[in-house]
Amino acid sequence: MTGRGLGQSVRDDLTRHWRHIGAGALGIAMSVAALVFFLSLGLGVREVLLGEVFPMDRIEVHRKSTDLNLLALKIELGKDTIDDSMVEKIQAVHGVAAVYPKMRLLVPAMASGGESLIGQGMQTELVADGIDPSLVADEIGKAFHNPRIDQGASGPPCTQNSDCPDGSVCAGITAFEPGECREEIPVIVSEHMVELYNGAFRRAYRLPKVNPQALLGLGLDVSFGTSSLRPSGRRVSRDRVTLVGFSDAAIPLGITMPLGFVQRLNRELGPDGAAEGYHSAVVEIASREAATEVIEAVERFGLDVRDGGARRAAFFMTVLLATVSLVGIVILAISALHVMHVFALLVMIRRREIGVMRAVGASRGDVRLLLIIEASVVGFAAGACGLAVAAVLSWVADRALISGLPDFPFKPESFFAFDPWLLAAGLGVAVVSCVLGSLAPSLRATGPDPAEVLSST
Amino acid sequence: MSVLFQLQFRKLDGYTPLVISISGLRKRYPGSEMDVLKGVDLEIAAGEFVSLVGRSGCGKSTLLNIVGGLDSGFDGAVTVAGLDLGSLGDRDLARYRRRTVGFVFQAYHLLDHLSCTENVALASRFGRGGAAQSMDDRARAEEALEVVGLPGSADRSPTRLSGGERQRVAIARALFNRPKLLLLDEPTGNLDTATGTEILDLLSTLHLDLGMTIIAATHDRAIEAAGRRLLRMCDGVLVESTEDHP
Repeated sequence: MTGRGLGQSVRDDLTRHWRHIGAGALGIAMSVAALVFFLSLGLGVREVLLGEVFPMDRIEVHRKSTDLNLLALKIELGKDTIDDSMVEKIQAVHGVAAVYPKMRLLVPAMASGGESLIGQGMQTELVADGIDPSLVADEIGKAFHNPRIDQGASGPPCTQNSDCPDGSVCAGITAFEPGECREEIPVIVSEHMVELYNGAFRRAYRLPKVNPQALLGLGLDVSFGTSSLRPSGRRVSRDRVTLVGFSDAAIPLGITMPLGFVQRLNRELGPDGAAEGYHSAVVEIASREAATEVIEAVERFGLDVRDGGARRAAFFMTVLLATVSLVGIVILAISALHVMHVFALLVMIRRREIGVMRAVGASRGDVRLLLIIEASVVGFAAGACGLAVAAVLSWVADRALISGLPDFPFKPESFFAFDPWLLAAGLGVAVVSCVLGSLAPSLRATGPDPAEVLSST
Repeated sequence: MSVLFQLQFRKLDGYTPLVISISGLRKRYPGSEMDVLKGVDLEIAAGEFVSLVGRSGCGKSTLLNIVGGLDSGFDGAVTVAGLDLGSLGDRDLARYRRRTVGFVFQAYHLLDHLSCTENVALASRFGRGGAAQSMDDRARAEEALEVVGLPGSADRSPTRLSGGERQRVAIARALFNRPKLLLLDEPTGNLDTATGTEILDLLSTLHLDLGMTIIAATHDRAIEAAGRRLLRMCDGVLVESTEDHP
């Protein structure tokens, strides 16, 4: 069949039978609209749930516990750290984009300060963690990364801060010896700490509410190696920390410092072996689809995933999306049956016409091609209409949800995610449904010889 | 009649003398217990005008359908212009229908949603014809309409034509690709006597001027008389073959 002839015939037939074809196409369009609407809603919600509430693009892994419970105590039986070779093994897993080791500060510490912000000084035990600065490079920038601090570089001797150049303070090993000028330690904290302070803590202690942005640059004096719970060790290091940013990568309660600095403190002031091995690692996953594969791989290495509900959320969303897809596919299948009925009707109406076409030189393949191309055109048009309907419905629903629902954490700008693949799939299933629906009628139409068809019409 | 049209026919016939050779042709329709054709043997030379007569149901139309490539289920050998129709696949058989034969039905079988020109040029949608095509499809269709005596009907709908005019359009459609063989199944069966005479004159002209090979199955005495050879069928068998008839 010639391309021009095919075009002419398709145009003639669709123009002539648009009422019948329109009825079939309407069903397909509505099915595609429903499928795309609910799938985009599911994908949009999944994006918020797994991207922000329970991020699955990063998981934290740690050594599986082998502790033995003995009454109120746990007996440590094995090591609970991850070494560099394990980090390399995780890095080699397919789907892993990067691995960022973390180390807890195993040195007691106390912090004091806060007068400039809340009007009175505070002193508290300090919990701290160390993370690879590149983990928060996108959020915090270079402020959190200072190799000189990791290496313990120090300046001239001093007795007070005014003896030191800008950006450094008078710090020291003990309070009884002359200090040395050192740069301030950059730290980050979780925003949950501010929420905790502004929520219950400040009310309990009658302190003012603070603006998180005003906390940036806040400095605290910290003594590493000392505690109110036990006598100070033989070595105490006095330093000053400065808040440089907020991040979800920070520990929920406490401060988070550069990994190199924590390693050095653990080595210099901590118990034996405190700087050997990491306590956990953040694994960045290349794509959400690879999450399951990565989780299975790290579990095989004897590690556990600290996911905070992400896996349950992912499972829930997968089940939800599968259900929505199944419902959509059932609707589409029913529509495809309807299309089959419409095309069967059209073929019956056009029985003589098909016979004439074959009598003047059309092969069975030509007629099948014509019917299938017509079905494809109908499917494409129906799919495009379905996508347009889905887009309009989602816009209306978005406006209603965003304006109607009160503000809540992680409230998205849109509840729908129209990924390009979803649009392509919407068009694809519409075309495939119509083509499948037209297959049986087109095969039936071209079965008999032209003589048989024309003698019976 | 168009000189170009005439020249193209003559040129073709000069290249490939048409011979229809049928041997032991049998046909039985599915579900039937009797053969419609019971061993037909026949040879037709290029340029013959053959009248095929016999009572209704004797197998005339079936024979024409098989020779025209419209019916592929038969036993025996049917060779047209060197093509063994029994061995042709669907695509080759479609090409044969498009290039080698023109078929005219008693019921015209025009498509009402197409104009006369579009009906005539319908075959061009499915591939090239057999002759060298120096003109575009519409011009060729208009020329074919002119040949059958319907100039100026190009854009008219077949529904606005009389029975005789519709049959002329059907003949123009059969002539569109300059076939070597024209098969007509009761071409005047639905026409009054005067219109039937017009169609007969047209067929005679096509035969004499273009040298076409024509086989017409008919009950019409006039067409029967116009044929240079008469074939009579009875109960699926050729019972008479008269040369130089009448």
